[in-house]
Amino acid sequence: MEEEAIMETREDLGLVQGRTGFTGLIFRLFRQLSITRNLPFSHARAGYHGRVDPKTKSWPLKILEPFTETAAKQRVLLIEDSRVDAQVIRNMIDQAAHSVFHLEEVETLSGGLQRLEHGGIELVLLDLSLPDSPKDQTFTKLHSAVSHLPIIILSGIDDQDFANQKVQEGAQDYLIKGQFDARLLLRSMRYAIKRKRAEIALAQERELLRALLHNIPDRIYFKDEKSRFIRINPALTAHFKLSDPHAAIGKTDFDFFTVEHAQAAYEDEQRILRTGHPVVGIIEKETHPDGRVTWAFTSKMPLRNKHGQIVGTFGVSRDITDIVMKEEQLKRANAELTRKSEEILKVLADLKSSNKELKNTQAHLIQAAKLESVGTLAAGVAHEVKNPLQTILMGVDYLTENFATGHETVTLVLDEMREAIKRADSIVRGLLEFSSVNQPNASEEDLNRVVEKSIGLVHYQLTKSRIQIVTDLDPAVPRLSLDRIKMEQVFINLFMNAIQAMANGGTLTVRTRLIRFEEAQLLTGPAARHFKIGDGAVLVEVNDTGPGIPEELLPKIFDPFFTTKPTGKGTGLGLPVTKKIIELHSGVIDVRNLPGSGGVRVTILFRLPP
Amino acid sequence: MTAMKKKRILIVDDEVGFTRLVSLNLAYQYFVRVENSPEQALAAAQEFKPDLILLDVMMPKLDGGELASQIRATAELKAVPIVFLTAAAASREVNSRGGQIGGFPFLAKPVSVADLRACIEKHLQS
Repeated sequence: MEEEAIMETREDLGLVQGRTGFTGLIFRLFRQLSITRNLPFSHARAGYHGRVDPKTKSWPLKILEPFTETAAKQRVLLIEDSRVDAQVIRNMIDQAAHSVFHLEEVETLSGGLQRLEHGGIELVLLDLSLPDSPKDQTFTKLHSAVSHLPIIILSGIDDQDFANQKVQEGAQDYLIKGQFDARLLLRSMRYAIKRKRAEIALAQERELLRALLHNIPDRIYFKDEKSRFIRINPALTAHFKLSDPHAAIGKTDFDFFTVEHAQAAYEDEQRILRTGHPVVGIIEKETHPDGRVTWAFTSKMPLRNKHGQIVGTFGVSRDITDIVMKEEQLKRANAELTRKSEEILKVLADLKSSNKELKNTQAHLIQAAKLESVGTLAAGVAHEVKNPLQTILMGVDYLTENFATGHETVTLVLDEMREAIKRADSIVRGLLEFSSVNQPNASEEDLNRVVEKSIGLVHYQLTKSRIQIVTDLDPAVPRLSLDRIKMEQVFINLFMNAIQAMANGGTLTVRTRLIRFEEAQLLTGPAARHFKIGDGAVLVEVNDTGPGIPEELLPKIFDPFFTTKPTGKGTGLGLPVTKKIIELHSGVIDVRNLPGSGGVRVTILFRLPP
Repeated sequence: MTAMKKKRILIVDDEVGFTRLVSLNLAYQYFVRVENSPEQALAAAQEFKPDLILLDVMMPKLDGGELASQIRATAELKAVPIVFLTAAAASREVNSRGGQIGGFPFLAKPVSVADLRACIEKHLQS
């Protein structure tokens, strides 16, 4: 049983050596204590060396030397002044089958100490009555010199109290000469060696535990089943502001914390006691009676005895108050940062919006300034051109009335001059119209009605050119905010263009629709820039069956003074004026050739009122 | 048979060439007086006592609108029909304004002699 215990201790220590978690270390050390606490032991010198390895965070343990009984024989020193007694002992050891001991002998204590200085001895058999030492001092002297070695006293003094005293002082056994045989002696020797080794190992464990408990900055405690402290380390002692760790023994968290925290901790521990489930890595808010608040990162484990029964709890807490405080500060700083960032974003959005408004205003101002200057220019040109035209017309009329009668050629010349005056006048008028289109005089109008009226105004030209008119006007089209006169001008321009394109007859189709852009493919051409999926619009389509517009000319059709009509038939201002009027109504206009059959389709889109 | 007394037309316009030619065109039918300086037009009107005044809108120093107001404010002239002539308006604008500028009828230059006569006749009779 003892041998098994020792072996287990060695194995566990081996495991412990490789672990990095201090909780595991404590757990295992405590297990050692539970298992080996019944073994007799005395204090031994510390068995570990060095400091914590900063890389592995583990203690560089110096474990027991390899434990093998089959290796070279174990050297035993017999200190005995009686040659007879020495011979008896020798015989007992030598005669034993498979003896693992090699006996060396000296007759005096000084001789023994001298031999021991050379090392290699693993057990001492000591007679107390030696020539160079009084019998009551012999053991003490030897033990103080070689406390790491197991000593068995072989004495003629048959005194139980004396024997107990020596065992208590550290002797592994006390055998009375003449009362033991070889079997008893050898068993005692074996056990003495094993026990001594276990003592040393245990002392090492204790030292490790002590070093851990005393040096670790984390707070470690052990509690019984009623959550009373049975052991606390110096870190927790300091946290409780106690001068001595023992002062905490028997007390509970209720003696050191407010009820709020103590109750929560008590409930945790009672649950661990009931279920055996540890609480690992929780953050605890600790409130103290003096108002202090501290924070701890805590793990709590069930404390089991050697039978595995839960007899209490133990735990490790790391003070993370500083971290929590810093975290709080960080959170506040973050929140402040987020708030400021949002403010900045808002300001930025405002700035962007203002900038956009400014740009729009600037664009409008520039446009207005352009229009104004164009308007001023146009008015000036009109005045300066129309007055001479008027004078010329008056002259032409005068000559016609007074000198042309009977002179065919003169009449012809004067008619040509009159036509030229009209042409020049129409150019100037177009320029005036173009420059005067800036502000619509809008009111709620029925678009279908405007279309119908415009068709009525070109009825004569339609009939004259044998053009069939087809109207398909959607009654669902709502009333729109329109400048009626300007919109009539738009439709008349478009119809007149269509009529002129169908000089030999054809069909003029006018369609209105209330539509909604449900699919992306509908958003082509200028509509894509002005509308998005889901937007509603009013559509007007004017289709003719004329020859269409050469594709290369399509990009130019809205340029002022661009015309495909014969000289004198077009001013090149009809479509630019039309586009300007549509845009003044926040609409878009698109002109394209109809695929296949030829002809032109003009599409106008008006945004629906919100 | 008594010849019909010619109606008196005062033309106020700073365009000398125009006024000369319009006089030539209207002289057979009307008794025409031309005034090329608008600031002297009121006095001319008071003296000439026209049946109708043709008034250019855009003139230096005194525009036709202001002159029309002065004429209307003159007792002996306030009933005289005034027709404006303007070189700065498109004919569509004339239509959209119902053929009126500031309550007066107007004609857009260039106007033919025939149209001018028709207009004069219309307003002489009204």
